[in-house]
Amino acid sequence: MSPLLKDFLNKRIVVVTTEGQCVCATLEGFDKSTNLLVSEVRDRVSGAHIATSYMMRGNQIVCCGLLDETDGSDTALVGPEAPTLKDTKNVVHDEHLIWQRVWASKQKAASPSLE
Amino acid sequence: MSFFGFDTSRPGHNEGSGRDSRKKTSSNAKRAENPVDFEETYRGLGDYENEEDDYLNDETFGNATELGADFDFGYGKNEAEAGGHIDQQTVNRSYASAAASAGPGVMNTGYHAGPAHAMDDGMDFTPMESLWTNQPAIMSHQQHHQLQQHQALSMEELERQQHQQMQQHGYANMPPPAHMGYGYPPQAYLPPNVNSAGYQNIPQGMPQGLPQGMPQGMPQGMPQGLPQGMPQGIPQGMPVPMPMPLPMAGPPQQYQQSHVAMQQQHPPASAPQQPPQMPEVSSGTPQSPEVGQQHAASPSQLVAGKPPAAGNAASAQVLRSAHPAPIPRTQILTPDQDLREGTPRGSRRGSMRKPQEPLSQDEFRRLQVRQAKVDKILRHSGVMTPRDKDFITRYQLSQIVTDDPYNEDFYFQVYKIIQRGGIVSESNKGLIARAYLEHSGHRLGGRYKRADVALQRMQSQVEKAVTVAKERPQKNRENLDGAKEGVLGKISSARNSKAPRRQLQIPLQRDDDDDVTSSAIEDVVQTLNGVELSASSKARRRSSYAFRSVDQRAVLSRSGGRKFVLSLIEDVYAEVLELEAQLRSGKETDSSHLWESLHISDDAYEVSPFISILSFDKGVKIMPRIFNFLDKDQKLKLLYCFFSELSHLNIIVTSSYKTNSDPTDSQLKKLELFQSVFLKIIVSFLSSSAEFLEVLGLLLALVKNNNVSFISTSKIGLNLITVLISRAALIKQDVSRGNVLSSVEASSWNEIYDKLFTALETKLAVVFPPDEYTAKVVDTSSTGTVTSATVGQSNKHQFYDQSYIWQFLASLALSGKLNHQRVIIDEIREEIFGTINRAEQLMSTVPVEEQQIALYQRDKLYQDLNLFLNVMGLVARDGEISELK
Amino acid sequence: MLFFSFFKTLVDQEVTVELKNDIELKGTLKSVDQFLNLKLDNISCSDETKYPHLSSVRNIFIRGSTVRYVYLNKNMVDTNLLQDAARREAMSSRK
Repeated sequence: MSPLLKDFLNKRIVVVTTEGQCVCATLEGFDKSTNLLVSEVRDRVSGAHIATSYMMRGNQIVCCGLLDETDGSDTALVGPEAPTLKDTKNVVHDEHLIWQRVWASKQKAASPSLE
Repeated sequence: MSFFGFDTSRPGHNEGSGRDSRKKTSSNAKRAENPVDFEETYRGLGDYENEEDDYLNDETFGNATELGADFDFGYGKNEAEAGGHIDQQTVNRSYASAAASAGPGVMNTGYHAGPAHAMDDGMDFTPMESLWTNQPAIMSHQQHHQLQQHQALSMEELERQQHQQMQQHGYANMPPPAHMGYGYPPQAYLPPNVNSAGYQNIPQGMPQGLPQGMPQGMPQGMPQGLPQGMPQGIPQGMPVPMPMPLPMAGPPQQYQQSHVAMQQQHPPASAPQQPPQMPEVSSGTPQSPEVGQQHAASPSQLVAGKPPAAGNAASAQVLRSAHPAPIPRTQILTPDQDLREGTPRGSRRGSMRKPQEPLSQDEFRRLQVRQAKVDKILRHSGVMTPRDKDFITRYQLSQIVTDDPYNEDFYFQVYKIIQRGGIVSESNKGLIARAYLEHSGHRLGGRYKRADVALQRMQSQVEKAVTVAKERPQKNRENLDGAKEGVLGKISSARNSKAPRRQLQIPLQRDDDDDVTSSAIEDVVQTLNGVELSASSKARRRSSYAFRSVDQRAVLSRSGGRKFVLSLIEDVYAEVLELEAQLRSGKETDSSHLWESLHISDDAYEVSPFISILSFDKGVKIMPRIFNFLDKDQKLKLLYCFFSELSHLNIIVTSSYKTNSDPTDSQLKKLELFQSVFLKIIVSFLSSSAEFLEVLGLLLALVKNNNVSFISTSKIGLNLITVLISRAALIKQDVSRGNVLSSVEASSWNEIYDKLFTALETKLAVVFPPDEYTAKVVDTSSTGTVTSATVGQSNKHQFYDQSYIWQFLASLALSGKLNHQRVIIDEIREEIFGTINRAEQLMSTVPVEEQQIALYQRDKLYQDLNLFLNVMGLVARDGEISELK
Repeated sequence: MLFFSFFKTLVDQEVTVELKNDIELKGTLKSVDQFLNLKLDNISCSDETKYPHLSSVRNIFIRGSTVRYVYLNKNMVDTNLLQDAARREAMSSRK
């Protein structure tokens, strides 16, 4: 069940994806796993046209907000300095380096005892 | 519920069948209720046409592959036209077969291309019915026309033609294959080559076709919603495909239409002229409404008007000869007439006439907007069949709706019930749990009991006892003689109910005490069926005297460890939930498992696990529900265990100023919780079902097995003792009015009281916590429950509520004899005067604006103090102690 | 079903939802489904300047899987009842 998105049908929405992408689009359809069928996809910040029709997998979706149609802010955000959104992965950069260190320190701790 | 953007709430969808909705549409066309459905219906057929070209061709034409042979009949070099003629012929030859062949084809499309309605329409396709009353049949004709054209035209041409056609009919929403848009200029209805090929016969009326056509084809369709637009646009726009114009049936509809229009406008054979501007040719369709109108108005006229068109006549002849079994014109005409006169059409006819005048820019724009909207709605329609939608809807519903909301949606259900009860604010948290309990009790079959009354009863218990005593303070002394009777066991009359107090001799008989005591206690113990002071409990008792640690782990370790106790609590919960479920379903409840899970008579541990269960908040909270299922015997045993091992009770330890001089906020909250939950249970049990001897038994258990003076240093402990003795006093007074208090009971009481008093004697002053402690409690306590008179803004106006202490002293004095009372007063003299001083100082030290608060506090202090003093016939007010009058 | 049931009781209450991409949205919970997808109304982004992307958005759908925390007011929860419900569910799944 996901009647939650029904109200957004055929309206302009803002979609934030797990990758941190943020686009405006018209919601054409959806299903229970939040797969979205959208059209007239534009970048939220630059307003650049991305696609006329697009299918988004549900697991990419973070949230969809209904654009306030009255203020006509559909297209681009004013100012390109809008910061990029984070993704939801929260990956630690160069994580392997950390584990290398951990491994090294463990080795170090182990070696004296061997000697 | 919607799926992929479908609004299943639309009527057609709800019917669960496109067929139904179509029927509805056609019959209610005037009301234009189901625009979308109709559109979809049409579109399905369009699909069919696009996708099934070859198949259909075969179906339609059979062997008639030599269509090309019929091209030139002298009235135009238009191949398409010629092909059209033939096709029309073919179609006309057998409507039944055409319809039949269309049926399966459409069905296929329905499955392949998806449009549900198309499929349903197809299934509905009985030749006659569709012929006379429904548009689909007609549309199939249109398809046939297009098919014919297809033979003559290139694919691109055909496509474009279709686009335009759809556009003009308002079908622009045709499914994908035709990538139609509004970008196409509406004019070129016919492919260029067709146009150029020779629409010489196109009437002069053509130029005006657009203005006329637009208002009709579009405005009607649009304003009234799509479904209507369809029926109108098609049936009327395509009179030619209809049976009657047999002879000239072949040519693409627009040609025919314009042709017919021409014929009607210039009835007798006006030579067809190529209109100067080709674009207008496209108005064939738009104009068609007019034609249809005229048809409707005079069908016969139309037929009659045909022959004059020479070319047509010629072609008709040829065609007729080519096709062995042409359907007689009249036969077809008649039904067509009927059709037009049928409700949908008849009603449409009226509406059609209105928009004859050219469409204004404004209207046109509005039309386009409308069209665009409809287009949007329809873009993804037909992706699923109604059955698919139905399935998904049902599936989705099944996910929301549960068969057993009480269990599967338990939290929500109960929470809402609680909320509805109006208990919202946080301060009422305790009440919420109870509301739930009461609610469930209610559900469990009217076991609704107002538990909060119990607490009030407890609090008023002492005061009540004191009041009773106050009423007859004199008698006590006057009836000294009666004391002997008491000693002799003759204390039986109502008047002698105060006998225990008058037995001044008793202390003198101390030597005999042990005998009497033991026998009396035997009685008491026996009343507590099966509750014997076992060896193990004695062992526990010993340890309880030594116990002084706040460390919870110490207790827990002696009853199996923290983990063990926590798992016990969960077991208890499981049992309670199980029992509640049983009760709810009307089954007999068996509390034996619950009883076992409480481990009350479990001697395996130094401290009963039950006592440790009470160390945890959740263990305390479950108690009221446990009590719902225990019988009286079990409750007694439970309480006996409780009072016997009171010293081990975590809450006693933490609430005693001796062991925990610096209580934390959470500890105070625990204390509060315990008091509001478990103390309440005890009070309600004692006051509702406990017998006098049973109360005595519990008191005895407390006194014998615990260090009473230690317990009395904790608020909870003091309250528990107060509860027991004041309850005993009240029963005595009740009994004095009604039943007779037996000598056994009386002497047991005396024994036990003496034991209690002995334990407390010389240590009575320690029930008053030191100032540092009370100050800390006041500081720590932010909830105002431990303190009272929190009206003031600052802590200065909060103070430690000592009323529980005075209640204790009052009930102790009430049950004691004069010499007991004297001992009490001696021991706490300082506290009495200290309280009076404090009360008096309040008024002098406080600024004027806070006088109100001070006044209240002073009254409170006096009130508490007097509760005690009144027992002895004294009263304190305005800094003086005087006799009570 | 427990938390679906639970979230249903929060409908029309004001909650703050923290997403896994660190955005915090405060708004009135309008509906919830069994995936714990949430719909908030009248949202405000706690850090509007940093994330202006949702500036002109009042009504938002949040996919349940991307929610990190939902902050609630303490008195929106009946913990005793919740514990009870949790025990029930645990018991029923044990059987």
